[in-house]
Amino acid sequence: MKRIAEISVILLVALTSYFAGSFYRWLFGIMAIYAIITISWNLMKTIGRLSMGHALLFGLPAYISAMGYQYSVEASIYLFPITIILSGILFFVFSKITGKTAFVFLTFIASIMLWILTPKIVIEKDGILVGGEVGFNFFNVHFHGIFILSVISLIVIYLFTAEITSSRFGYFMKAVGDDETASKAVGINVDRVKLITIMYSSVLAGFAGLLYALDFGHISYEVFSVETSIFPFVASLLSGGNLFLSVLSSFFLVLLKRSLNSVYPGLMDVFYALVLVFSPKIGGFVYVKGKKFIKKL
Amino acid sequence: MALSFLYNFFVISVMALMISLNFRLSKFLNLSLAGFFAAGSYIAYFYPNLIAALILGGLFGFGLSLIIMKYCESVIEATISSLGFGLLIERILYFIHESSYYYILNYDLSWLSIPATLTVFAVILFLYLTKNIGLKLKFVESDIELAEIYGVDTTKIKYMVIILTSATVTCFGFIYASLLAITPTIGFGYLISGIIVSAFAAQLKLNGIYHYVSVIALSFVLTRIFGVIL
Repeated sequence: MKRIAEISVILLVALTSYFAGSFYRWLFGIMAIYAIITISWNLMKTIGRLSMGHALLFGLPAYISAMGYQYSVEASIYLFPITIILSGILFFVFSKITGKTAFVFLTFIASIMLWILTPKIVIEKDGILVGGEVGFNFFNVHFHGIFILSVISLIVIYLFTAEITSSRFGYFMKAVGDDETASKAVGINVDRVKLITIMYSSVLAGFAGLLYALDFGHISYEVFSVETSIFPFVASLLSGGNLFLSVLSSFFLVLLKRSLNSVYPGLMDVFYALVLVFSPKIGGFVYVKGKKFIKKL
Repeated sequence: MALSFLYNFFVISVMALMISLNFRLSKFLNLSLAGFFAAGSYIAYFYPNLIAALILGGLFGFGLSLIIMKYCESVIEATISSLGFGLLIERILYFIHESSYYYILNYDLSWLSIPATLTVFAVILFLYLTKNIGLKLKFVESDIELAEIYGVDTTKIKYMVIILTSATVTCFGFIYASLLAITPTIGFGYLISGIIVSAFAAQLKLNGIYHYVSVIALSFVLTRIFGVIL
């Protein structure tokens, strides 16, 4: 019953966007993409790993795929899943070699390095240099197609993730997130749980990146920006870590970005920065008030 | 070429030293240093006064330390707050100066980098080799709780470290501005290079002044190998 109500809310937002006009149909696509990133980020948080470099999982598969697209369509199609797997493995290795605190630093550094280095990547296509700060062109799907694809994928991903997190495996994930040593002591295969979760998170983020690239028909180094990495953190913070509320807060943040940036370009980034600065205070406030609110309900 | 290598080595080593000091004494990864570096560069372009950069850097540091000490209880919280603080400075710079790039053409302060870097090295050396202060600093580095129990004023040390490192990085942003294209994201490359250097140095598990000497040595080696890929 609860799931039906949650899906109805997502569908209601989608339908409202559909009937509000072309712009809002396109905007819903973006909202859904960011909601999928937040779901992906939340999964990693469940196993106790706070990723501040989710831009890497989001942008790298689509970026490498777009590079392959400059040569052939086949190369693009093959490179996409390979990069998803490799970025997932990279994050798993990070989680193996570091503790919870160092994982935050390492993921952040990795994504910032990509942000700094990718504008320097150029490749030759038919004697012309492409890439650099401009980025690469990619397949383009009409925004109607993206709208339908994003509605279906968001609902499927949400339902599947909600089921996973409330399943036996979900409890293992939470146990690993709370205490890895204790989880090992009670017989949970910690590495297996971490690997599966990180790979699933990587697939979701990579898929969101693909939708993003298909929507714009282009991808540049901007996908690796700090803003992309901090978006799911902010969305999750404002929702108190609840999966459904984090989808709604992602919708809200994308809408807020549109509104604030139309007042003054870049104003949303100030909002992000302020949320980060006061994140310990906001996190505690949302958690305490949220608990009280849920109790009242 | 050699001069350019020397400048890169100086700025990366200072950034790495400041990151190390923050991490070992204030117990968080200060990601706002990129923003402070950028602020220093903008001061050099619009109001070329080193004292102004020093004061503004100190004020930034004071603001950041207030937030860290008041609201943050863990390393991760403090690190994320510092990232937000740095981004806030960057965004404010975007708002005030919308144009993408600025170049300083009428004067060159980069010669100052040599005495400034040597001063930073000397100050750190002096602090750690002075018996009373050095002992306290090493105590805080190895076990902050125990240091507190034994009466070391760790809060004061944390405040001082954040303020002084912020002011230093802002001044270096000022000094290096004439060598670079000034944008709000100017400091990120140096910040990441500095983090990488201090992370490598941390693996050597050295204490006190030996750690900082290893940071300087590794900055030299890594700048030599990688140049300024970042």
